[in-house]
Amino acid sequence: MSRGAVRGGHDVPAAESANVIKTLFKLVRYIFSHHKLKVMIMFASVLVSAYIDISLARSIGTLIDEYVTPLIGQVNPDFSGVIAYVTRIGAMFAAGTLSAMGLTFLGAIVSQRTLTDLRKSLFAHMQNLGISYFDAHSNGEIMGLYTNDLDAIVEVVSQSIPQFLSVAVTVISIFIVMCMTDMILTCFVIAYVFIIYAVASFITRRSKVQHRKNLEYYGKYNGFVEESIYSQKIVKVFSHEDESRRDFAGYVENVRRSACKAVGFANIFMPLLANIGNLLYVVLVSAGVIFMTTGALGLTIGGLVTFLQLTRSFTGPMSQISIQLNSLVQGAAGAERIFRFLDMESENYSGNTCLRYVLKDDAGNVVRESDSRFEGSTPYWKRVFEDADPQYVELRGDVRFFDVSFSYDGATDVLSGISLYAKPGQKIALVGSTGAGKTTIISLISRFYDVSSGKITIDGIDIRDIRKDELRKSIAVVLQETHLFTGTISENIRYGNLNASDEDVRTAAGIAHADSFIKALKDGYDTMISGTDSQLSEGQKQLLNIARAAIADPPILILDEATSSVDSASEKYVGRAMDRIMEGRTVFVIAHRLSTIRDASVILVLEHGKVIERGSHEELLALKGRYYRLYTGSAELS
Amino acid sequence: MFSLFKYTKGYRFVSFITPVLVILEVALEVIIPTLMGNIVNSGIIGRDLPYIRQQSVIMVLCAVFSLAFGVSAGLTSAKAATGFTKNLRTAVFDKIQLFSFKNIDKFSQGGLVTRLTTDAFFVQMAFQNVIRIGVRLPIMLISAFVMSLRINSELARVYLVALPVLIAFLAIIAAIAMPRFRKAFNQIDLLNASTQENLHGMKVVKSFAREEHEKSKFDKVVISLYKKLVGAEKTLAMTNPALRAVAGSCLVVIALFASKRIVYGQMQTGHLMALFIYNFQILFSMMMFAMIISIVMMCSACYRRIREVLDEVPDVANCADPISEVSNGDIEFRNVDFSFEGASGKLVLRDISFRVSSGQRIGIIGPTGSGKTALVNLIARLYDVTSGSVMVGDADVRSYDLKALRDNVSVVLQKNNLFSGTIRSSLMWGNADASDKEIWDALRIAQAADFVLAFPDGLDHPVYQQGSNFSGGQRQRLCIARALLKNPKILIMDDSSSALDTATDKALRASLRDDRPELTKIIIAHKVLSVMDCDRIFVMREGSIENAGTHSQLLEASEFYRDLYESQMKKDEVEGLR
Repeated sequence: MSRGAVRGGHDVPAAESANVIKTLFKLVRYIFSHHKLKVMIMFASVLVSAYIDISLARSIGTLIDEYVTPLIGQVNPDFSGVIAYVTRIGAMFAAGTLSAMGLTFLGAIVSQRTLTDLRKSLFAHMQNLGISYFDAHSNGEIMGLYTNDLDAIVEVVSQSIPQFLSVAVTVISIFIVMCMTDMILTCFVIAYVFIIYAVASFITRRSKVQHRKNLEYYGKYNGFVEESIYSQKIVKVFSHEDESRRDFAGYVENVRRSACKAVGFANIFMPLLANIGNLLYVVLVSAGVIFMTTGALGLTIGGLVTFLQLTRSFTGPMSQISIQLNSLVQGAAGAERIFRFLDMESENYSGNTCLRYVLKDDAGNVVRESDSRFEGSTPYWKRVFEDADPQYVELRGDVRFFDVSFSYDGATDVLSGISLYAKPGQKIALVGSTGAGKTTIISLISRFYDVSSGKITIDGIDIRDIRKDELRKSIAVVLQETHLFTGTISENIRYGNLNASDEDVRTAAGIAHADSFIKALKDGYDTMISGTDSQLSEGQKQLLNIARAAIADPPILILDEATSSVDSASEKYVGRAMDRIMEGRTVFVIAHRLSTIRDASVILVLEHGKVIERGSHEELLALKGRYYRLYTGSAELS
Repeated sequence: MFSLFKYTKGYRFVSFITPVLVILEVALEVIIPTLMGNIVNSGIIGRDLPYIRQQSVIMVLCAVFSLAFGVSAGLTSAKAATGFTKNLRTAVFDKIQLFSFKNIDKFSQGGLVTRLTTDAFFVQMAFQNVIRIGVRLPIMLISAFVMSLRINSELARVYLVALPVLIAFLAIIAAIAMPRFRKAFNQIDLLNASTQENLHGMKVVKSFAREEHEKSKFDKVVISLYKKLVGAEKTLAMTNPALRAVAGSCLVVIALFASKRIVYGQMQTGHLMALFIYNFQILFSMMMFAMIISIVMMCSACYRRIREVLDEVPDVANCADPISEVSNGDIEFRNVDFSFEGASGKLVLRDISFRVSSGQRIGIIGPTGSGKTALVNLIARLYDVTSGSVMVGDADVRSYDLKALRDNVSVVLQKNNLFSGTIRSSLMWGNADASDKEIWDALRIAQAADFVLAFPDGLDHPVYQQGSNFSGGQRQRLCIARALLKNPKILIMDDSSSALDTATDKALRASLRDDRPELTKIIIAHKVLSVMDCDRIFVMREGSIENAGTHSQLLEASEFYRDLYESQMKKDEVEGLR
């Protein structure tokens, strides 16, 4: 049982039917290619079960007609034939039980394996998508893939497909027997199938509309609840409880009304289909009796009785098929979204240059080389060429922009004609209003986006030649929004360098001035923190972020508004920590508080994606331009 | 579970008519196969045309009524279940509205949202299943049972053995599978939470090139989850084979038993077929019933979570005869102790006493965790004191009507938020009857009028969720304006001008002083500059007021204050030029 079984596919909007079959085929192919043998056994089990179910119904008739009836009236009836036949029925049952067991057992394994595989692929693919994907899609939207859509698929794999196959086999075989028994009466059955089809598709269409409406209202309700609960303290402060209640009542009533209709449509499915089946029975009886009494078409009593029995075992599964169709359609919608996500192009990591830790002898020959740090190693860029020996360029952190322009959408330039250079160890400050392009500049250095024109080099190498992951290892970023992962404090610091020893973690915490508060915590470095609500203050979180950057020990450091959410008592410490970690590195810093960047080697004032002023603090003050106005408080950054 | 009854209010009729309709529908469903049998056995084989006609008419009527009852039951159960959920959701939401800050802190916000959304949905599923299918199955079971007993009462013995065996099977399966499922579902919740965390920190992951690390972390959890889930599913997969095995054994026994009776003329041939059908009906109902019970069990965990909220006692509430008028903006603390965890907990505030009279400006400064926020929250009675008393306008805050108190004590919270809508609708939170003039007045004092005027649509400019389309400084000023619109007697700004530049911050303080002279202002800040012109400044350390006085007094008396001032001034020496 999956959660989807309980949830009933509530959150899955319907897909367009044209794609449904294609997607289902894709899903079946996907599953088949991973579990060939199991799927084949499952398929065989479905056939065996269906065959046994059908023949069991007939075998009871055979038992009565051929074994029991002849014994009636005998003085000393010999029951051995009866016992033998009943034993046969029992054996068939046992076989049916075994095949059902195989089916459900394998079904459990295959569906859970598929779920696991898909979940892993989703996550792995998500790690490799470019940042632009996350700009364009909300977290809620992406999370939907992991929850609703996966649930819907499990439902399809473990329930709908096997059941659909099993009823389909039953229905088709009964239909064939019907055709052989009486063609004319079968025509009524065909008419019935069309009626069922029409009714089912009518209801499905209606319920889809209601379903979509319900989803829409549910989404609005959800949005309201989130906004309101997350701001509950403000509601209290403004005594806005009554207004909140009133608004809530509106949203919740809309959900109720639309859910009532959607659920109602789903509920009337079964009684409707079952009773159409009952009416078919009466129609067949009437028609049969008329044919028989008029003597037309040579219908016999036996024939009619058999046909009516067949009808009873036909209409039940028919209603089942229509209901399974409904959930297949919903599952396909989930599968389609997942496949579409997996088909998104992932970020291209390739490049001919990578980061290596190298030990050279006095003659400059490489003695030892590794992808992680070791005693006495120095980081180098290793450039590999097809027709030449690899070249080693020392990693120093010299960053240059050559006439760089960038546009997110290919139409409007966010940056135009930016040129700058940062020599190793220099501190470059970026100043400007929101939207001036500061964050874009630093995103380009990490290659979260690629330049539209111009180029960026590090130590003279075009960064597009460097493997992306290796490039990013040479840069540490401290963002305004502190992000920590659920885990211990030392795990969070070690995120910057997975090979770091406990000693290294402590040293990094020391550099970040975080050591003292960590030691004061109950479990010290082993204190568990959770990403969202932890006992740490913003300032403390930021110190951990700085420690994480310190342990990575890269030549290039990017500080994006790193102190703006830190309170002033901690600011003193954070500021000191920042100063220490900036030593000997090329630093790009974005700061709202201008006092923190006064000592920068170069300050760039940006506006509308262009550099409008550039120079040291003193030079810019002397210029008496925008920087001067900002600094003296006569203008404000927005 | 009886407590659920309350939430059917307004939907009582549909809640009770549904089972009745289901009973009628099932009764007809049970009759229909008998009619089918009659038509074949007595009608067609016996060539009795009038009988066929009569039975057919009855059957058509039965089908039509069964259809009518079935469809109505489907509709009424939908109405009952969704109505029930609406009531439940409303009850939870209303309860949350009564929560104090302490109650809110106790539940995670995400947890409250889940209760109002998915948890409530699962309870709805269970409710609908119970009133619809839960009623249907016992009737199917009993009627099939009675019908087979009517054919032959000795058959009861077969079921006397078979049913306990099946129940035991199902119980064992459930006993093994349920805890496994519960564990697996908990792990799924954790997994989703960490996926969300990864998604949220994608920039960090990519910045440190930790994609592979994250993948292997995830894979480890997913594989252990797979083991749990597949174990649970395999156990559950035994249900169908178990049912088939029991049904098969029953059938074999019945077949042998009935064959003998038929041969000796104690039973008709048609009866064996009927017994065969009833046999399946009995066992199938049993299994469905077990499934419903498992759904109810799974959903009961959701209901328990909802119950936690409903049973929570709001710890701040109006007293019996509340005062509805706050006479002035005086504040007095008398020996106040405060702890978040009650009397036995760690004290966040220790023996605080002071008096502030209307119109005074008080600054509060101190390191994180020194109790600044806790202190001001007591004034608006966002928490209740652990001992001692807080007086506003010469009466204990606990004797006021909460709404009246909070209308007069306006708090601008540290973590502030704007609600989506327009600037006007966001600001009218402060005062629903505010005129445009009053709004502009508040905006002007909060130094927000200039940038709002710059929007072509002015007050009708949209505000996105959490005010994300404004800069931090703009957001803070709008929040201050919103607080001013209440026309409070006391204004508390909890670090709420931190994103403003010095000039704007100064202008804000000046216009608060000049335009609202009667208003008592309490300003928590980190910058000495923001509080240095206050009438009195409290320096807080570790839950007590270490020093109080004017700027110049504190420069003498408080080392902490002096250090802070000097370090901030050194860094911002140019600001002295202003």
